[in-house]
Amino acid sequence: MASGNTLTLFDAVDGSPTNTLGALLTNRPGASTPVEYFLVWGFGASTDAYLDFRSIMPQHYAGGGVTCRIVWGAATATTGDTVWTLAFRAFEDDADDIDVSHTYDFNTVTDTAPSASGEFTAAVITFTNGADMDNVGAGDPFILRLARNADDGADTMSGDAQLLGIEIRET
Amino acid sequence: MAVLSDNDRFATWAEYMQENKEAIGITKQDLRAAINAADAWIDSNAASFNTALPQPARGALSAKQKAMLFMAVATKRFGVA
Repeated sequence: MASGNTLTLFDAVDGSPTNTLGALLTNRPGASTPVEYFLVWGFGASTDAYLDFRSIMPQHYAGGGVTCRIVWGAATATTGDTVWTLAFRAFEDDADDIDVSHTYDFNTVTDTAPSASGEFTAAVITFTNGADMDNVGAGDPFILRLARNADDGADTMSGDAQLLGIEIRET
Repeated sequence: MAVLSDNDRFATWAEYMQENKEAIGITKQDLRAAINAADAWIDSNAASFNTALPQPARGALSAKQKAMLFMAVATKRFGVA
């Protein structure tokens, strides 16, 4: 797989909130006639919120690092920053057990809200291959866990951050 | 009446951000400071508001009814749904 090519795309509908502290599914109406509706996940500004995406790493994954583009916008804010964190959990063949608690090792980015509510932007988080992405290999099931670290001092944006989707590229 | 507890101010701030549907150009920390200031102002000016009410309303309405009256007028004046 060539560097920069897309490995996996996650639309908002592919996500599932965690059992507690989950993000909330909502919609963002457009302004056309008839009105478009974008399904988005809302990540509040006062409490951390989480969302999981499950997939299987494509067989064409060559084993390098990955770059994740978090495509998001603000519900109402036109200024301020959102702290996004991402982590992988791999399920290697006959090795990792979903019934066993796992500590997610998050990578973080602080991204500035678009200048207008209704616009989208992409926050980028990179992972090196190996332990940084929990050793996900081609063909391995995995969870990609996204969180807004709302109680981080660098998270200054008021209102919800609205997630549209995530793209995973091979770096 | 004392100012709200920190927990109540936090809850008010969080609820405000969820309910607000209009574009907002300040940080959430600045918004929290505004929530705190609004609460402090209400606490400082509650007696003045009460004095402004004519009788018999001043004597007959409960504190909760006076708060509802204040909100009704503010809601109409600023077109807040």
